[in-house]
Amino acid sequence: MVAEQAPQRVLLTWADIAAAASGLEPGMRDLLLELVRAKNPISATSVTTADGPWFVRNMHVRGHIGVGAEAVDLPLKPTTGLTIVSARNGTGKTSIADGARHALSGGTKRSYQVLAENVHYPYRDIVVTLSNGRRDIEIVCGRDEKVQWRDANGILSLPPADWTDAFGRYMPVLLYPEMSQVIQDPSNLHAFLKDALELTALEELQAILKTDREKGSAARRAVEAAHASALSGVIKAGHQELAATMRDCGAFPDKEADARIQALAATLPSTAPPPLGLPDVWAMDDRRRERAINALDRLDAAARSDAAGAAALLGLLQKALVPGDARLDHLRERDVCPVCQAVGHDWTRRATEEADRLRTATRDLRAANHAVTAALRDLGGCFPAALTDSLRRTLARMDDPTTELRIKQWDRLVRVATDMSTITTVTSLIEALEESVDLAAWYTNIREALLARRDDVIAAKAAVRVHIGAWMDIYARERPAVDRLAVADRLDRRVDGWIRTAREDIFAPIGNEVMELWSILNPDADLKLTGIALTGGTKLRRSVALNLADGDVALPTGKNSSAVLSTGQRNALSLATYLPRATQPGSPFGFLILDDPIHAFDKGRVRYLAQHLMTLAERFQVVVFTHDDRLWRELRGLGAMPTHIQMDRHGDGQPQVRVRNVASPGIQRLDELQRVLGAEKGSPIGTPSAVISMTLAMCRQAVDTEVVAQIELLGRRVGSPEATVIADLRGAKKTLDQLELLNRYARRAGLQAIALNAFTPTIHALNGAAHGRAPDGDPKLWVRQTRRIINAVQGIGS
Amino acid sequence: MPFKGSGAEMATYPDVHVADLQAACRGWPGSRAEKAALAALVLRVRIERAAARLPSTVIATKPDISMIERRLYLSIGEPGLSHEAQIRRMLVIAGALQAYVAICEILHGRDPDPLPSLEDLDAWTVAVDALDEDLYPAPATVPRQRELLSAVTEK
Repeated sequence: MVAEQAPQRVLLTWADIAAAASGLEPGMRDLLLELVRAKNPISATSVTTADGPWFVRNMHVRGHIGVGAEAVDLPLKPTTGLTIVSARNGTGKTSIADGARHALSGGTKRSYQVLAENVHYPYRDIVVTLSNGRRDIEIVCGRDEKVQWRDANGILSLPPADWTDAFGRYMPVLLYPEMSQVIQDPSNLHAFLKDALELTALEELQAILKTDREKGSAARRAVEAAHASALSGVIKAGHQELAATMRDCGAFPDKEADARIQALAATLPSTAPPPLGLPDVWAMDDRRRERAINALDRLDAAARSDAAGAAALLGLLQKALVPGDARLDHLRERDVCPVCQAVGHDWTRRATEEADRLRTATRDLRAANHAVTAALRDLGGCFPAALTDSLRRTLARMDDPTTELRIKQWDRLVRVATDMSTITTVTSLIEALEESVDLAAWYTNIREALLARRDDVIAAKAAVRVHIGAWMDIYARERPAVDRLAVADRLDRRVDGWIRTAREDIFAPIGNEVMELWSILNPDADLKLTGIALTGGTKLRRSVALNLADGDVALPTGKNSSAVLSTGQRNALSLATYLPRATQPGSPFGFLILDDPIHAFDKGRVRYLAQHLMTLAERFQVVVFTHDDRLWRELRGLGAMPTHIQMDRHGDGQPQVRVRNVASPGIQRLDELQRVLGAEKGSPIGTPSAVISMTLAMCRQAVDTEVVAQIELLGRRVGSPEATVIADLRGAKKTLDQLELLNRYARRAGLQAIALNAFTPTIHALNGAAHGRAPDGDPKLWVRQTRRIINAVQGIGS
Repeated sequence: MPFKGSGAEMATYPDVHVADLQAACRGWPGSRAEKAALAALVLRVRIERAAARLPSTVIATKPDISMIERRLYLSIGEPGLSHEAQIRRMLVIAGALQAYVAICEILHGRDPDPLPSLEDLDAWTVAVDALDEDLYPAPATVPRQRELLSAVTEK
């Protein structure tokens, strides 16, 4: 046997499986390669998937769930980095995320429900544009939810299968409804991970092997049935040696056993054994019986007449009446009786009459005798034929004690039938016939049993060679399938091992990262995740076991072990599971899209997640949809400058979703003010003093927003507890106070402070306006001055 | 009556009449939600001016927009108020101060979302109208903010 090598990597494709065949023993290798050739996989990986990593350039959504006729376009930088898309509930975040997910997944079924058709605008139009830096892909989805890829020439095609498979495996888009299933019940973790553990090619191989094994099992059963039938025949035929040989070698003899069986089978009779020699069954013939009885009656009557024994007298009378005897002639002439010498009695006439009577009587008696003889002879069929020697031996071997009497009875009746002279009366005849009928009834049963037994033997003996031949024929015919079954069984076990190993190989790094990420997201919690493993049969199909410990005390394991987790911890668990899965090496997706990942998170967990997202953003394009600004603030506090896109609704009835890049809310505010002031010339908004007051008040809000964000950022950078930062901010009631506080934090962080003197007049003006006063001057100039302040504020941390 | 603030830096700037601010708010482009910060600003000015206008029988110090909370609470002791009126005023002031603190938090950039929600804005408007009515029961010289907001909404 060739030493087998363990596969070096997870066998995800048919090409991987074919490569793994080289490490198998010859039989399994040949079978596996045959199956791979028969499968004829089209290609291992499409160019598109191999061309990754892909990044999202734009999401265009219209007529999908909460987005109506007014399309929403979400432009993104197709590169690594972090983008936060924030909007209030009901703005359409999840609609856009779901639209992107649906298109990117190739339209695979969701694990959650969405509205099939938009109630305001039924013409769904989703376009997700991806880029790998060299070319773009457009993935489109229309009203029927059918997803297609559109090339540069506008030609539509189905998404590549391996792209769809990869999406299921890496799941680069996570929506809250999917996460919520784990949050609701952490035992759903396996269902959550199922696609990541999907081994389509290996499982398909196992399905093919199953079919092969079923065919092999059917063949094996057919051979075993033929063997059992042949063995039964041999046993009946009484060939002990052959039976023992067949039993020893089983249904699948090797060559040596096969030759021995063939040789022994040749000694079996090919024809039926000699007959048993059973006499026919006899039966009573009532007509003949009656005739015999009548004949005997007539004979009896004849025998009782004086004709019996009158032969001498008749002879004398005939002699006396025959002429030629002189003396008697003389006496006749003189009518003298020759006996009594009396004269004149006409003895000649009287003697003639007597002689005629006697002659008649004698003839009748003879006829009666003949009739009886004939009638009794006819009754021979009502008596048994003589016992044959074979039957006599067979009967003698019977255990029944009455059999001996029956044999004697049989012999006696045979003697009666042979010599009917013993039957002289009707009574004796009837007795003999009744005895014969009784014996016939007994013999009928005996004969049937003997014949049946003989038939079996005849059948067994005649068929046993045929059965052995049939067994050998079936074995020869099914041998390839039976031999293949043995190899297929071994290969199936090997594939089973591969599946298990592959799942473990896929899961091990995920599991390790889950534990690590759990500790990142829960560094301050007593509840520790001490282990995570796949369970559920040899194929590890059913569940994920979590080992949790509260401090040093391990919690009981089992399905409900995770019930101790809070909603926030469950959320952390689902994220800790999802992120390692989505960021596995080999993913063609350079993006991660998360919908509402900080659900139920406290401030600490938001911060830990923000830290982790910053790390991920070095390798991935991370896009986070959230209604909660805490994540953005934490990111800013950690020194990250994520792209911040804000979505809101505007227009009559607020049907339109507006998308704005608000990485700097202060600058964003100033941009808006400039637009408003620029447009004011046509139609004044209000009195000049009111407009300048309100403009500068908004300017101050813009400055304060930026200053507060920067203080929070620097506070985290210098390690100030959050409560200290909040207390410091409470103490800084005015804009100038806040700016001075910012400078203190900047100095603590070793950064250049702002020269506030240059901005003091502007700050005073902003402050006055915020309380309903109107500084002099052009509001646009104030806005420009304010922009300088904000630039200075932002310049501290950059 | 033009009002001069307490800070030297602000004293040089003339007050804008609340009615003008309200009109400017109405005329400002954008939806009601987009103008929520402006409306909140007007509410804050109304609270500050209501506090600053309190008579010297309530607070002896000069009228300005400092110590808003103290000024308003001192008004509970305004001469001539019945016990029931004092209790009512206490409740009105509590509501107005809650609105004031929340608006200041927004306008001072403590919340990264610079726009208050419309539900909050409605609640603050009710509180500030109640404050105006309770402190100055004379016929209002300016339209109530609620009326202003209705006008903005209709726009």
